[in-house]
Amino acid sequence: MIVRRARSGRAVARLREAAGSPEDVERILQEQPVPIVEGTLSTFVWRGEADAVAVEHRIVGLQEPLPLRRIRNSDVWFATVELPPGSRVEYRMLLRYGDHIENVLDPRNPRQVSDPSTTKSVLEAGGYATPDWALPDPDVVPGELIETRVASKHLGRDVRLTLYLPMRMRRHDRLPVVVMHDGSDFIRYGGVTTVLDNLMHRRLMADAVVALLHAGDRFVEYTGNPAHARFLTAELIPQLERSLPLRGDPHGRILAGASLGAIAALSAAARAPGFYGGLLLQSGTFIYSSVGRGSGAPPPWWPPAGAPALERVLRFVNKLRADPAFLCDRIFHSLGAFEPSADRNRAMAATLRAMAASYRMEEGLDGHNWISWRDCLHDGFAWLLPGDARSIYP
Amino acid sequence: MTAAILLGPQPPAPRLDADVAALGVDGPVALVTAGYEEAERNDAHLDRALGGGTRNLGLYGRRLDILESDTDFAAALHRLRIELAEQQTLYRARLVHGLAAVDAVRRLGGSSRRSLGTQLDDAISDVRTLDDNHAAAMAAAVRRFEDEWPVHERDVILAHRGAVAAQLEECAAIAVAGGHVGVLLECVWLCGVGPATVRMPLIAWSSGAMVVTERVMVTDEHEIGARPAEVMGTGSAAVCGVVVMVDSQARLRIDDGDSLALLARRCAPRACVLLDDGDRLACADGAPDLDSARVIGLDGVIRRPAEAA
Repeated sequence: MIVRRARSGRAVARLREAAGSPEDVERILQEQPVPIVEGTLSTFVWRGEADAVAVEHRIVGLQEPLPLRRIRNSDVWFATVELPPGSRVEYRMLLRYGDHIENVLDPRNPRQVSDPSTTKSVLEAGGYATPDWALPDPDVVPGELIETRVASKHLGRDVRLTLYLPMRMRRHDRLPVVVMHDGSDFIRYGGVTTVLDNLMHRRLMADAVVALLHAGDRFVEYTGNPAHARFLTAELIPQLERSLPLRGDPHGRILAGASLGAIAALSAAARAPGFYGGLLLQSGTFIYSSVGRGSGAPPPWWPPAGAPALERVLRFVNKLRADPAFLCDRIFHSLGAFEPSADRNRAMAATLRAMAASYRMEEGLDGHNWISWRDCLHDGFAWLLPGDARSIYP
Repeated sequence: MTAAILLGPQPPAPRLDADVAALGVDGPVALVTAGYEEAERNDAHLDRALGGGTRNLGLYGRRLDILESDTDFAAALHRLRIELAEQQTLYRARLVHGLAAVDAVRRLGGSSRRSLGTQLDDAISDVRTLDDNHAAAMAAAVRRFEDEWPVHERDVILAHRGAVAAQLEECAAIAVAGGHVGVLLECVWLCGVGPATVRMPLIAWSSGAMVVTERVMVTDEHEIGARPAEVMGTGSAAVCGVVVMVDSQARLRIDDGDSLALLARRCAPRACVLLDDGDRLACADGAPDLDSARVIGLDGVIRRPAEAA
């Protein structure tokens, strides 16, 4: 595995030398951002009294949790890892006092990110930078966001969604439509509306209407549930195509999703071969069994009560792997190289390749998180719905 | 003799006065800035560069008005665009494999020094045939559309074409600026400006230069997804015998001789001319003076004007 504990760098040597002087230690730590990045070496640092200190993370190949060592004659704790250039790691600190463990953000690191369950500190290794197309641009006129609901007989509820309408949309346009699962989380944690604004403004992706679904019970609806597939294909898409200037043909219909959302997208497309033109699948929860029909190991976040849903995903993925029928023109598939499900995603490549005329897979140097998915959206959208930037000459 | 000058992309303050003088223009210049789309009317800098008094033909605005006013025609045009896009997708799929075949043959030859015979030439010829057939198929689709939807039966189009013709009557030359090459092609076609680019003294730059040639080819070899250089359409053919590659420093692998040779051989028998900032191709009666421009040879070597001279 490319991520591993490493020999400590120059900064740790300086901290060791200054160990006898708390003032000198603090001065060294104030000189640079923490974690300390030196080339490919990244050093987590915590200062204070505790019985043990560790880093909680979800990085495959790295000891979990990653213990920090105390520098002799000081209250400084550290752990150095070697990361490939361009890596990004989300983490929290674990502090043990006797039997009590505190789970805290890294107090010296102002870089933080939130997801639906918590807030984490962020390590950005050398070479990583937030893509400029993911940052708000004052020169870009944003698309219009409309909150709406679609009544679904199949799901037995009104489904909330946020419609993204591109700034340039005109009445006589015939635009493609993208349906994104977990849309409200993509907006809140993945900044997807900013991404769409920038990519469309720069013509890196085609102008498109994007329907951002607000998830109901993901473990029911996003786990290969046929009712959810029927909602998308028989209710949502027809309603959008009746009410908006959309293409209304398979090439103009894209389904997108991350994690279980990827399963939901793939499941809907598999139940309507030829109805969708493309899929954007990110870090899919591809649970399958290689031998027999026994359950695959569920991800650590899978709820104990979710056994029936787990069985449904397992059956669905096993069936795809056994008989990957042709579904659509294009499948874009991304994964985080550090996420626990990275190998399972890689193992799906041959299956997904057989299901589309064109298949493209990309690995980000990140984990199973919203920023990792955001950072792959440029390549995904630009490949699935190429814009006309190359037709524009200065 | 009708003269034309094709140029590369222009800086924010263009330098066009010498070229206008070279054309010997005595009167206003008709200006096409439809490639700028919504910014079509932001043309003050071009007006200054062209000596003032230009007449912007407003083709982008006219196109919008046509599509808003004649919804039946707009729907039909949308169907044509879909058809052309589908053709482009299928062409691209075949092109990718055709180019992969060229690459595979070249690698086999290079790795083992085996004799390729005519295999490499044949593989490139296959790609050239694909390009030619695609260009012909797109032109045929447009002709079918024109037969089915004759513009002389569409009042709003006739009105706009009439207004454009009247503006052109007042002008001594026509200038076509860059921007979105697809939009430019459609606007020039829809408003019937193509013939004017053939009969009037012409100065065109960037994608404006592309749309006045016979064959429009777009590329960006650094793009995500790496779509290959593709034939995109047919221009007004005011200048024949060339395919112009605009902004080549940014869009082509300019140091890759094999890649350039392949591009030149795909374009043959037309010459593959590079138009970057500072480049200039002079033409007379539709024939380009290739000695005046940078041209990619069939061997992939870029020949500069001084060398040619």
